[in-house]
This record gives sequence, C-alpha cells and structure tokens, in this order.
Amino acid sequence: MVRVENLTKNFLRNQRDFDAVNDVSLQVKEGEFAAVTGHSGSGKTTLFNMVAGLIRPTSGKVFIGDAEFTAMTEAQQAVFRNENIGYVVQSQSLLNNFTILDNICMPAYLSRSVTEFKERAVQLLTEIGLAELAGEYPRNLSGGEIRRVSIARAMLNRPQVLLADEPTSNLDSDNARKVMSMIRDISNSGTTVLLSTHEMEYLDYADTVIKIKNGRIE
Amino acid sequence: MAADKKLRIPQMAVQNLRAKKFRTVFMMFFVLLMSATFFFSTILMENMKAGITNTTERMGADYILVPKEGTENIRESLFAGVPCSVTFDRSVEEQVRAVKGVRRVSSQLYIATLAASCCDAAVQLIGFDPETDFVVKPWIEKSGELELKTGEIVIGNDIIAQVGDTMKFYEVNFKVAAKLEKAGMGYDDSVFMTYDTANLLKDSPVAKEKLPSGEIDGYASMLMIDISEDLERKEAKMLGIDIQEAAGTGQAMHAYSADDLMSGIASQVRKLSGYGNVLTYIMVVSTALALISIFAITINERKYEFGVLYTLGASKKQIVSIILSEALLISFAGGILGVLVSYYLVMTFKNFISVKLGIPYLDISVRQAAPVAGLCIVIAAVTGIIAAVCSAYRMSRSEIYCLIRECE
Repeated sequence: MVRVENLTKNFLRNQRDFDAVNDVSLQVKEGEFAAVTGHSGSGKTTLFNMVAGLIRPTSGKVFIGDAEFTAMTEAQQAVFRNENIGYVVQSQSLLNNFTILDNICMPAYLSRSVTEFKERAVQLLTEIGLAELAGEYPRNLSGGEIRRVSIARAMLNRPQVLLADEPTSNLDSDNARKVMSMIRDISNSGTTVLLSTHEMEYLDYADTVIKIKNGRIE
Repeated sequence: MAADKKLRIPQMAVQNLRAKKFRTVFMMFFVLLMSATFFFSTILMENMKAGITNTTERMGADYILVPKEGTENIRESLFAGVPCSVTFDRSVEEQVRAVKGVRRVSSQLYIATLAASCCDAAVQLIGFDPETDFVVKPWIEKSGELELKTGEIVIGNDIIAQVGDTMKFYEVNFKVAAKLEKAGMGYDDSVFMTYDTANLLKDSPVAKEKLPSGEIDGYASMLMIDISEDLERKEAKMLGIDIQEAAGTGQAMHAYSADDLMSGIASQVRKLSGYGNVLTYIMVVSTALALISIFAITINERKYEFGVLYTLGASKKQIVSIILSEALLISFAGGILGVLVSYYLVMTFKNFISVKLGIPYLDISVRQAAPVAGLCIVIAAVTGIIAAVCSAYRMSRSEIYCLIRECE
C-alpha cells in the first residue's frame, strides 16, 4: 500500500517559488495498479521521486505499507528502497559496465539481507524472454529489451511497490504493449504499482487513473 | 540453500575500470609519473647522503690537514673519486707530530693518473706510509691479511682489474694484490700503494714530464691526525688551531675534522635534497590536482550511473566506496608500476647516472629500495584517495534526483 498525505515540493525557479507538486494526497491499495497521467511538466516525476525518497518533500508524508518513509534518515531510506521499492526511471537505466544478469542482480548485490537471488534473476530473465542475453551488455539490447530488463531488475528483491515513470516512452506500440502487459502481470501477482504516463491508450491496463495538472490532483 | 555469490564493491570497481580502459590507463599514468619521480629522487638523495656518511666514516682520523688551495680537489677525490694531484712538503708531518695532544700522524700522497696511453685508467693513486698509517691499512686488511710489497697495489671496487693482473700507470707496471669491497665513495675509483711503490714513478720519464717535477718523494697531499683520547672536548677543538699553526710555516694549510671536510658537499647535498623535496611536493600536489580534475570530470560524466544505483537502493556510503575503491586501485597500481619502471630504469642506467650526476654510490638493493618503494606507493595511494574524496564528497552532497535528471 502507498499513502501520500499533503505532499508538496517547492523549487526555486527563476528566483521565484514554484510548486512542482502541491498538496497531493492519494492512496493506492495493496496489489492495485494506479496510473498517474498528466502532461509533461505536470509534476508526475517529482511526485514519483518523492515517493521513492529521491527528493525530500517540502511538506507532507509518504507511507509505504505501515512505514512512514519520509520520517526515515537517508541511510534508512536507502535500505528500505532496496527492499521495498522497485523504481523504473524514465530513460535507459541499465549500467553499461555490467552484463544483463549482473544488472538484474544489482539490487541484491547492494542489499545486506538478500542472499539468494540468482535463480530468481534467471527466472525473471526467462519470463521476459531474454534468458539467452544474460551475458550480453546493455549496448547490445534494443530499447524495448532494455525497458523490460529494467522492470525485471526492479522486481528482483520482491518489492511491495513498483514505481514506473513513463515506462513506455520512446517505445513503439508493440514494445509498449509488452511492457504494459508485464506491469499488469506484476500487479496481478500482488505488487502495488504506481505508473506515470501521458499516453492515454495504455490507461486501460490500470485499475485506477489519477490525473495530475500543475502539481495538483484533479 | 547456500547464499549466491555477490559482486562486492571492489569487484564492481574493477569491472568499472576494465570497462573504461583508456580512462583507467590515463589516470594510472599520472600516478605512475608521480611515483616514479618520487622513487628516483629519493633513491638518488639517499645514495648521496650514504656516500658522504661512508666517506666521513672511512676517514678514521680526528683531523685532516690539507693545503688550503687543494681542499676542494681533495674533497672531490674523496667523495666522487675525481683524480687530483695536491702536494706539500712532507716535513710538516714532523712539525705536527710535535704538537702537544697529537697521538698519531700519517701522511698520504694523492697522484692523478691520465686517460692516456701511458695509464690503464684515469684514477686516483693514493700513496701511504705503512709505518705510520692507521687509516688505510685497517680497512684494506678487512679484505684479508695483506703485506704490500713494493710494486704491489690494492685497487678500489670500481676499477676494472682483478687480483694478479698488472696495471700500468705512467708506463710503470704494478701488480694488483687485492681488490677492495665497495666503499661508496671516491676510494672505489682509487688505487692504494705504499710510498715505496709510489716512488717507482720517480724513474718514469712520462711521470717526470706529466707530474710536477719531483713532487713525489718527500711530498704529501694530506696528513691524517689522531689526537689523544684524554683531551677534553674544548682542548680537542683548540688543537686544530695548534696543528694549523705548527704546519703553517710555508704553504697555507687548514686542519679539518672529517665532518668539516665533507661539510661543503654535505651542505650541497642538503640543498639539492631540499630542492628535490620541493620538486617532489610540487609533483605530488600537481598530480593530486590533476587527479582531482580528472576524477571530477569522470564522476560528473557518471552522475546518471550513480543516480541509477541510488534508485536501486545503494546508500551514499556504498557509492562513495565504489568511487574510493576505483581511486585506490588506480593509484595503487600506478604507484607500483611507477616504482617498477623507475627501479628498472635506475638499474639499467645505473652507471650512466652515477657518472653523469657524480654519485659514487648507487646502491639500489631490494633492502634499500623496499622502504622507499613502500613510501612511494603509500603516497600514490593517499594522493589518489584524496583526489577521489573531493569528487565523491561533491557528488554525495547533491540531491539524488539531480543525478538521474542529468539524462532525462
């Protein structure tokens, strides 16, 4: 479950205060698939970054399950993020110096508590149909394959929440549908999903649609 | 079920370095340069200091009386083996012996040979009086019991000849009776002989022509003076003046302690060592600055990569550890390679360096090189880490979303 209470992020832009996210409250239930939609610059990414703990909110709270994520220290947030949040960022996010298998295993490498992960990594690679590319480097993968590997990597540590920021951007419709089906399956298996998109044709995959405009929920 | 093998931080660092070979080699090269320079200059300075210490210790006399005008020549001969011919009337020996407080006096005669067909090598011939000598004989005898006969010589370690060979100086043949161990001073390029043997040169027409007329028999180049042990420090110090006065009837003479005689060279070495240290500090600082710049540029380029690691749950500590591990590997490897390259070059061009820089003693045994090498590697590693810490600190202060936004 993800609960956001009165979340605000204020930036200084051109020496003037600017609310990228303004007093946003929302709740996504366990296993629910919520799509946040809005135009570019509406505040989707800032909202997601705050939920993931990558930006400190100016005010407001974020709860993941029962834990008040925003009350944690930076170090505690890192551990919590590693174990409970899978985050797929907007652009190519694979690490070019590591193989696909190492990329998928990275959340486990960074974790102190996760010790068994190889089998799951191979299983995830098989599920996305890229098992034969385990030893390849990201430069040899297509855009759609990279996006699917990023999602598989986000799921390695079995997080409570998957945050996917514009996962279909720059993908053709065929690849975009594959990615959306994959995320739908993840949600069906019990993971809470929060996805941002400005492409209306993919909103059907979500259980709930949240519209955001100028940093506020409509 | 057994735990799966994880890629640890040092392994990640190695993988990052291997993936960017050009960048890694470029950074390593800076550290290599610093380490090699530091190793080379330190070894050189250590050897120069060792040369002075050896020379001073081997003098074995409380006072050394030399003509004022020839002091510099004697110094260079003792330290670097530059041949010289300096003479004064040996009758001074008796006058000095008569000074109250003087226990033993022995004279030595320095004759330079020539790089010409009359001589096998341009070396320093050192004649001594076996009856009175207390400096050369004890040292020669370290190489074995030896009674030098007329016509026999003992050669320094750097002279190319073996025991039993014959060496020619001023067309006179001498038989090599012994070869000394390495002394690390001018004695390595010197040939020792008794006065009787030195007098053989008198009959050589070449010696008569090339050396100052008759300045062999009855002449000396320096007096080695041993003073009574029961003299107090102040009296011992004043005795130098008495010796000078006793000797100063003809040519201007000066009595030096061994330390004083070598102090000119010692202060030159200290100066050189000071300059060397300053240059080394400049080198270290400039390498650190260059590394800081390179690290800053590369880490700036890699912001997105670190941002992605944050999204996967890496802590700032883990990110900083990756950066520091990479820096440590680069600087450690660069440091070791620098030492090896420098060591190899010094070993290969040892004689050339010795001759060109006038260093009599270039000892780079593993025993001597190891602590210097260790120091160089530590300095290289610390420099690399300092450079990386600056960049890592800057990066760890920026908000994580800023790192990811770099690419969005």
